[in-house]
Amino acid sequence: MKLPTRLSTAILAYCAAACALVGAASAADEAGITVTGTGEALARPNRVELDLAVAGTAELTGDAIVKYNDLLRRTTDAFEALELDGLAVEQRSLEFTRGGAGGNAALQAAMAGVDAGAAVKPEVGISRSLRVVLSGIDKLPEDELMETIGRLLDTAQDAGANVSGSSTDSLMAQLNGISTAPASVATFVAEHAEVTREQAYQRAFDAAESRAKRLAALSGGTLGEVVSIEETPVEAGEEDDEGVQAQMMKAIYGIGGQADEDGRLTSNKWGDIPVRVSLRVRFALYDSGERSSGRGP
Amino acid sequence: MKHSYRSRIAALAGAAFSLASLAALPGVALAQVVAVSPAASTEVNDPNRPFVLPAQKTEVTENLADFHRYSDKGQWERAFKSLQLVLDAAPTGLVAGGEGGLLLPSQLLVRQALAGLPPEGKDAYRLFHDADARALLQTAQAEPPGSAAEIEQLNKIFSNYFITGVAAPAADRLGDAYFERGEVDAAIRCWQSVLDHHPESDIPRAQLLVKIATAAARAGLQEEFATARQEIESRHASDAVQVGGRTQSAGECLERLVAVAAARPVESVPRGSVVAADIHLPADDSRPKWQFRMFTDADAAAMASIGRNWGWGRMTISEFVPPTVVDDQRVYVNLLGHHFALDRTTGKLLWRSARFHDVAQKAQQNQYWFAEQFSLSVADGQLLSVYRDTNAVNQGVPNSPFRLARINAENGQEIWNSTNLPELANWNINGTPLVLGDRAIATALKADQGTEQYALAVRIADGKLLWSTHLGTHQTDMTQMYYQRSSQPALVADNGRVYVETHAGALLELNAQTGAIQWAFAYEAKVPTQNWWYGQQQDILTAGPPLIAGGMLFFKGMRSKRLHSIRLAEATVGWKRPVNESAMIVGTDEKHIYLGGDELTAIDLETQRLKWATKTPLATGMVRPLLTESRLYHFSSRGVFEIDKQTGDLVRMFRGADLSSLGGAILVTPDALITVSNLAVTAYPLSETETSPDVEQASVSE
Repeated sequence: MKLPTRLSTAILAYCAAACALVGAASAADEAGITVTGTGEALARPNRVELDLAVAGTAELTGDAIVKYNDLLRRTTDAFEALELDGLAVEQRSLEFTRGGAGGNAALQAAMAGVDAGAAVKPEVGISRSLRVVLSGIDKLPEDELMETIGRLLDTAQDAGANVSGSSTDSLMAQLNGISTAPASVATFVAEHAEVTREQAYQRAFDAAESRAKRLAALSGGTLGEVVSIEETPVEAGEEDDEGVQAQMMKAIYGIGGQADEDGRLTSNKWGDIPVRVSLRVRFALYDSGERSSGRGP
Repeated sequence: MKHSYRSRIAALAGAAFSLASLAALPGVALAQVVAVSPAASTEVNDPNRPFVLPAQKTEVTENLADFHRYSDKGQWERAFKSLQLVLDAAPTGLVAGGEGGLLLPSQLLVRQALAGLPPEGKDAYRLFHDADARALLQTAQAEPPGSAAEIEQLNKIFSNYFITGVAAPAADRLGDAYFERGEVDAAIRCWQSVLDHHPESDIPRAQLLVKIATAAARAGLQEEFATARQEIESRHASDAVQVGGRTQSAGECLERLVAVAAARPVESVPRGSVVAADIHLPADDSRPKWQFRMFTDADAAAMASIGRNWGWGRMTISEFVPPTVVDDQRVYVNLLGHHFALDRTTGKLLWRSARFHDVAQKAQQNQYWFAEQFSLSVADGQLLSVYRDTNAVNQGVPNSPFRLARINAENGQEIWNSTNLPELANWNINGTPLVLGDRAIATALKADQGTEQYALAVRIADGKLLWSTHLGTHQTDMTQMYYQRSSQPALVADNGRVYVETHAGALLELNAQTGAIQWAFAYEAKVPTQNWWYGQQQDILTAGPPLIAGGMLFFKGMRSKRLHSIRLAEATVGWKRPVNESAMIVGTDEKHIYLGGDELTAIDLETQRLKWATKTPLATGMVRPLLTESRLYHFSSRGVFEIDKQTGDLVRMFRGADLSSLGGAILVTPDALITVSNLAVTAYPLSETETSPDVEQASVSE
């Protein structure tokens, strides 16, 4: 059915107006100067954390409870006996499990499709994660810090607690097929890093503005106001000293250093923790004449 | 044809229901580890068991059941015919019949069955068999006294005609014959059977009791002596008895026997690792008295990588702690067949059987060493070593058998070697020999039959084989266990009996004199596998000897997750409880039994409740913790743990001078604490006031 002439004309006019608007918008988007600025500030860790696990596993629930309670008590008592200023042991999640207890050999046998031997009887497991926190490490000399962390690790292992390595390191090792790769056991934390972040943001903006001014000067124009600003994600808390493969793996699987909850910054290495911010800023750009004629800002 | 809307809906609903039903069926969770294996079984004849005891055929068990069934009905002729079939079967076979699952020799069960007959049954039995028994007795009496022929005839009466009218005098005479041959335990058993089952006998009770007391006192059988003594003192002290042709009172005889029993030295048999007094660990900054390093750091690293470098996973040789024993002068070590002795005071190397500077290199070239099979015992200045010809191993003979050798402890000279003795040449010795007076009890596999496990008695003086007893059959050939720890039997002796823990799913009691199996017990254990896969990880297994305390026998098999107990006097099964597979018995006191492994634990003997558990590092399965009056000591890769026996709390950690090792065994002398690891033998001063001289450090290179 053929449309009436008036309707066709109206439709065409509408389309033309829409295209014009889009074009105007595009043109407007392209106006001004868009620059990226990166700023970095350093945060000094003020506490170190060791993640431990205490567990009791046995076929009888009563045995598992005795083992768990004994290990928990001895571990906490052992750390208390150190009498270190700023040392605290936080009890975290409690987990109950029940399953086969064939151990390494049975597990591998099952995965290899080999008869693992006599029937595996399920065992009850009770485990709790602990976090040993030592505060005030920013005031300690490095050698004293090393010795103290060593004492903490020895205390944990002598008590029988399981010292957890970095989950990132462990996962990376598994992805690379390495079962016994060393893993970081201490996490250095910079608390209250808001000030550091503020500094990073300011530096990022200053860098962007400086770049924009330079470009404005080269173009013979005058830098105007900020039209838009966008933050580009940057990995925080880890130094970029890893290989390309590791970075790719982390990106693919979503692993890697992130700013922790509650404004904490964490790192597996002792040293200042960098906070990096990247901003993408668009400034308005005016001709020198436009500015002086008052048609500018 | 058009389908209606409703019919389409109905079809979809039906399909959905079917799918839902299928989804509800149990299935395999893909992410779940499933260990597929036969259920653990203690059935005697179950071929899926890791260790099969020498069982009677199923027909024997059925015949015994038929006997009891007919007896209950009073059908005596049928009952005795069934019993005769049992008597005609092999005398060494075992049948389930003991309380709680003990397996007993069928002959013993026959005697028990006859002794348990009601009076009318016994009368019927005598009616049927008295004539035959009398004829046998006449035959026996016609033989030279004490001859093998006489004993054979008397034994037939004792076994087959146990409740006939002539059984009492036959048993009495048989006991006399055994006593004259030195088979004291058998003699006592014969006389005791008259007391227990023939109260109507004309043989004076006091006479039999004095005979039992005499035999027990001379043989050092304290329990039997105490029992006989008590009855004599309370009831028969003034009764007249005939001893050595003289008539005297039983009380007078007993007085002399008390002196005999007191003068008899107590057999020093291993009963766990209990040392009476606590030891004072050295100060943290103290230096060892001496240290003898068996391997350099480079060799130690090479040993640690054995197996892993070829993708087989950890091999037992990489966690090997050499068997070490101590006497009042020296420390003796069996380093993979290289024997050496150190002066206990200075650590100086006194003698060695061969240079061993290249042991690590040899171990890497041929990794099938069966490190767990080497052992060492010491008694009266003699060493008994189990080892294999290292040259044969190096020449690529992986299954060269292990030998038993007697070595002069003073100079290391080999006195005899089973290789050169015709009676022992075909045995592959395993386990640690147990010294009992003039003989050693050992266990062995038949050469080229790595599944058949035996116990042997060997005269220490000349290596003469005194007896051998077939203990049973391993499901897995122990000589093919290249990649996992093989089962090495452990022995303990008490009161004339030897207990063999096969560490494969069975424990047996043997008569120390004759080797006859008295009873056996099959327990739950894993079947070891000969398989291996690339990069396999092994669980660390420990293996300790059984322990006798308070009339109870405690044992825990290497691949078992159960701690068992047996009441020895009654030969009945006691309690059992779950424990870690890596657990091993360390010792007991009045109230608790203590286990080692990856956890030190204390279990209440009365309630079997777990009192406390202390996690300890475990890097080698050849660890030997030590129990003292109030402490437990565990030598680990992180040092020596001193644990409070009451609470399980860590009292002290002594790092020591061997921190690069995996830990191992602890030995104590009056003036030194000696630790034996996979790398070194180290002696520390025990006295807190003693100042350590400059450390004497010797090593392989000397």
